[in-house]
Amino acid sequence: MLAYLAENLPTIIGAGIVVAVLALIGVKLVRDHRRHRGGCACGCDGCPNAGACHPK
Amino acid sequence: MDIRIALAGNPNCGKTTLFNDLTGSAQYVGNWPGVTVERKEGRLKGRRDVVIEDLPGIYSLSPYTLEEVVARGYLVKERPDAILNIVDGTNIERNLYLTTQLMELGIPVVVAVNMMDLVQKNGDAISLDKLGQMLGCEVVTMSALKGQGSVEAALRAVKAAQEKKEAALPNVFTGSVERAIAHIEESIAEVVDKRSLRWHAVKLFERDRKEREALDLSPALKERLEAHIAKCEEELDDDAESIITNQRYAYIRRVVERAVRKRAAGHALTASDRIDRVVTNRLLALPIFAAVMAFVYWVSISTVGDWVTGWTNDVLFGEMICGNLRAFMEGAGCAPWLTGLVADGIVGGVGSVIGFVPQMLILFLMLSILEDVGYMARVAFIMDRIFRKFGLSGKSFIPMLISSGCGVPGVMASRTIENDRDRKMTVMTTCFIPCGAKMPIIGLFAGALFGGSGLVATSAYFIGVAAVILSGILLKKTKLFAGDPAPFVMELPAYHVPAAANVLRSTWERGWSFIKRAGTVILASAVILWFLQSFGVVDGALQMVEDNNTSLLAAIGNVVAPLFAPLGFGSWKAAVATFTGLIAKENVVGTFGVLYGFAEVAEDGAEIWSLLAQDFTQLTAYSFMIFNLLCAPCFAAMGAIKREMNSAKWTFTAIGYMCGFAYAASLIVYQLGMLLHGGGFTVGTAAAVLALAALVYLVVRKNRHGRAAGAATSVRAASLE
Amino acid sequence: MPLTMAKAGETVVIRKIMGRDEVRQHLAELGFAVDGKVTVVNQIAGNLILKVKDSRVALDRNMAMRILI
Repeated sequence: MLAYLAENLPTIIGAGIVVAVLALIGVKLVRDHRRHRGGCACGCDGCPNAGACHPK
Repeated sequence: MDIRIALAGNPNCGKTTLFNDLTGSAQYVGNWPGVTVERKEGRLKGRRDVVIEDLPGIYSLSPYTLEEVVARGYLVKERPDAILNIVDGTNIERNLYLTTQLMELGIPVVVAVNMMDLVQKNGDAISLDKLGQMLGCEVVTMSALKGQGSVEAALRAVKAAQEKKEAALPNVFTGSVERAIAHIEESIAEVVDKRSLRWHAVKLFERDRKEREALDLSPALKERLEAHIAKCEEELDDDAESIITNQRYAYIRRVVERAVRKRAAGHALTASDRIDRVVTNRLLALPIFAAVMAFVYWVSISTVGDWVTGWTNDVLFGEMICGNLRAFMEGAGCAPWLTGLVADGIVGGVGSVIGFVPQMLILFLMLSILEDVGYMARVAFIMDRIFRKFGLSGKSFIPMLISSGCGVPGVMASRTIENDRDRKMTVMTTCFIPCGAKMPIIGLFAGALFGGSGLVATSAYFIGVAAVILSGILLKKTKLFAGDPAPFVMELPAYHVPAAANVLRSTWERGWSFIKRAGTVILASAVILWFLQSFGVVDGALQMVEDNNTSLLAAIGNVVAPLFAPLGFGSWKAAVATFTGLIAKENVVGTFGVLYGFAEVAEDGAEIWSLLAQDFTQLTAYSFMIFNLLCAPCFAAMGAIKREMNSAKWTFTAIGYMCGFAYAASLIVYQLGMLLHGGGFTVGTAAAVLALAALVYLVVRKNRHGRAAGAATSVRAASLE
Repeated sequence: MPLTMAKAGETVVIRKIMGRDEVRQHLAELGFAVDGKVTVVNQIAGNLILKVKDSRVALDRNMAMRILI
C-alpha cells in the first residue's frame, strides 16, 4: 500500500490539487448564489456594469 | 438605537456616488417588498450606529411611479431621523422642487448642493447661506465626483437628526392656496402625525390618490375638504395639482433669485447642446452611431485585440504554459491522465478563454468611455424615431446597449420601461445583442476562419441589432404585444470628459469578473468535459481513449448532433460546445479548447485555430456563430430573465423564442449559402426557404391590432402596506 | 401652437400643458410648467431635445405635442 502511494505520489498530489481547486470553486459558486452577489446572479450591485444601468 | 438617514434626490444628481462613498462595501442591496425597485441600505463608514438609506432617484413625491411611491412610503411610514437631500447645483431650479416637498414632511432636512465645481466652472455662484435662509434648513456643499464634502454632509445630517431640529416650513404657498391648505390642516389635525401635517394637507389638496387611500377619512370630512379645494380652483381657474406645482415653482424662482447668481443670461446653448445638435442631427445621427459602434468593435476585435490575442493563444499558452507544464508534470512522474487533464484540459479550456482577455478589456474600455461621456443616453433618443415606427420606444434601446457588455444588467435595465408589454418584449430580445462573453466566440471564428477580419465582429453586432428590430416588428403585430408605444421622456445628462479613474476602474472590474468566471465556472466545466472526452466505452469496457471521437462525450454529443445538421454543424463537438454555452457563453470557446487541444499530440503544438479551421468551412462557421449568438443566453442571463418576468410561462416563452429565432436564422443562412455555392436544392433548402418566407410574412404583414387594441398603460404603483 | 412647431435654437414660453394628470405631472416634475421657459436644442422627426430649467430633457413627438407655447 505504501509502495503504491510512494510510486504515485506526484499523481496523488497533482490530483489532490485539482480536486481542492474544484472544491473551492464549488464553494464559491454556492456562496455567491446564496448571497445573490457577483458571478452574475447579481442584484445589480455585484455587477460592474452597474454604471450603465443606474447612471450615478 | 440606530440613527437613520435617508438620501433623497433627483436621478443623475450624484446620489449613488455619494452613497458608495459613505458606506464603502458595508452595503445591503435588495428590493422593496413586492416591487422591482431596488433598495439600498448601508452603514456610515466609521459610525456603525448610522444607517444610510439610499432612496430611488425621484423628481417628486407624487403617486405616479413606483419609485416615487416607494420613496414616499418609506419617508412617511418609517420616518427616518433625517433626510440628506442631494441637489444638483447645475440644475438647481428643478432639483428644489423635490426639496420643497421633503421639507413638508417635518423631518430634519440637510440640503447638500452637489457639483459645485461645475457650477463655478459655468461662472455661476450659489450662496449657501442665503439658500439656507430662504429654505429654512441647513445647506452644505459637496462634489461627489471629487470626493469632497460627502462625509461632512452626512455628519451634518446626523447632527440634525440628533438635535431633532425640524425644518422650519418655508412660505411656499400664498394667498388663497395657503388659506385652503391651512383649513385642511385644521380639519385633519387629529387624524395624522402632527409633524407631517403640512405634507398630508398639501397632498389632500392635490387630491392625491394614495393619500386618500391611506387616510380613509369620513365622508363628511371629505366633502368639506372638497369644498375648500373646489373654491380655490375656481378662484385661480386651474386644477388643484397644477396650482400647487405652479406655486412651488414660483417659490423656487424667488429663492433662486436671492441665492443664485447666473452668469449666462437666459438659455444660451452650452457646449453639450452644440454637440447634441450634431450627434442628433436627423441625417447624421444614425451614420454616426453606426460608425461609432463599428469602430468600437473593429478596434477591440481586429486590430490591437487580434494581435495580442493571437500571441496569447499561440505563444503564452501554447508554448510557455502548456509546454512547460506538461514537461514539468511528466518529469515529476505524474500519471499521464493527470498530465493530460491539467495540461490539455484545464490549460486548454481556460487558456482559450483567457486568451481573449485583451480583446475584452479593450471592448469594455470603449464601452465605459461611451457611457461615461453620456453618449449612450443620446443613442436611445436617436433610436426612438426608428423604434417608434414599429411600436417600441427608444427606451427599449438602452437595455440593448448595456447588453453589449453583459446581458444580465441589460435584462435588468428593462425595469425602466413602464409599459408592461414593451418591457416583456425588451427582456425577450435584449439578449440577441452579442454580450462580452460571446465575443470570444466571434473572435475565435474571426481569427480561425476569416483571417481576423473586423467585418465578422461588426456584422455579428448588427445581426444582433437586426434580430432585435425584426423581433420587435413581428412581435408587435401579434396579439400579445400589440399596443401604442410608450411615451419617451428622458433626461439627458450633460456631456463631460470621461473621468479616467472611473473609466479605468469600470473597465478593470468588468475585465476582472470575466477572468474570475474563466477561473471558476469554465475551469470546472473544462475538467468535467475533459473526463467525458477522455473516457469511452471500448469493447464494452470503460477506459481511456486516444481518439476523442470514441469517447463518452462523443456518444452523448452524437445523440444531439443531428439536430444541428440542417444548420451545417451536425458534429458532436459543435453540439457539445453549443450546449456548454448555456453555462457561460465563453464555454463554447473553452470547450473547443479542450476538445481540440486533446488532439494535440504533435510537439509543435498546433494551435486550436488551425484545427478548428479543418472542421468548419466559412459558411458553417458563420452559421454556427449566428446560432450561438442568438440562441438562449447563459444560465445567469436566464436567471435574470426569470426574475424580471416573474412568471415561468413568460420565461420559457422568452427562451423558446430566442432558440427558435436562432434556429431559423442559422437555417436560412446555411441552406441558402449552400444553394448559392452550387449545392443543389434539397429538403433543407426547402425548409430554409419556408422559414425565410414565414419570417418575411410575419414582419411585413398588416398590423391587425393597430391603435385600437390597448393603449399604453402607465405603471399603477403597487400598494405598499 | 404645440411645441413641435418651435424651431431649433428658439426659446419659448409654455402657455399650457394638455393631457391626463399623470403625464402632465410628470412633465411638471421635470420642469415643464406654465410660464416657464423652454429652449429647443434639436429636433428629429418631431422628437425633441429641450433645455428646461437648466436640464436637458428628450421628448417624443406625442409628448411634445401636448405642450402648447
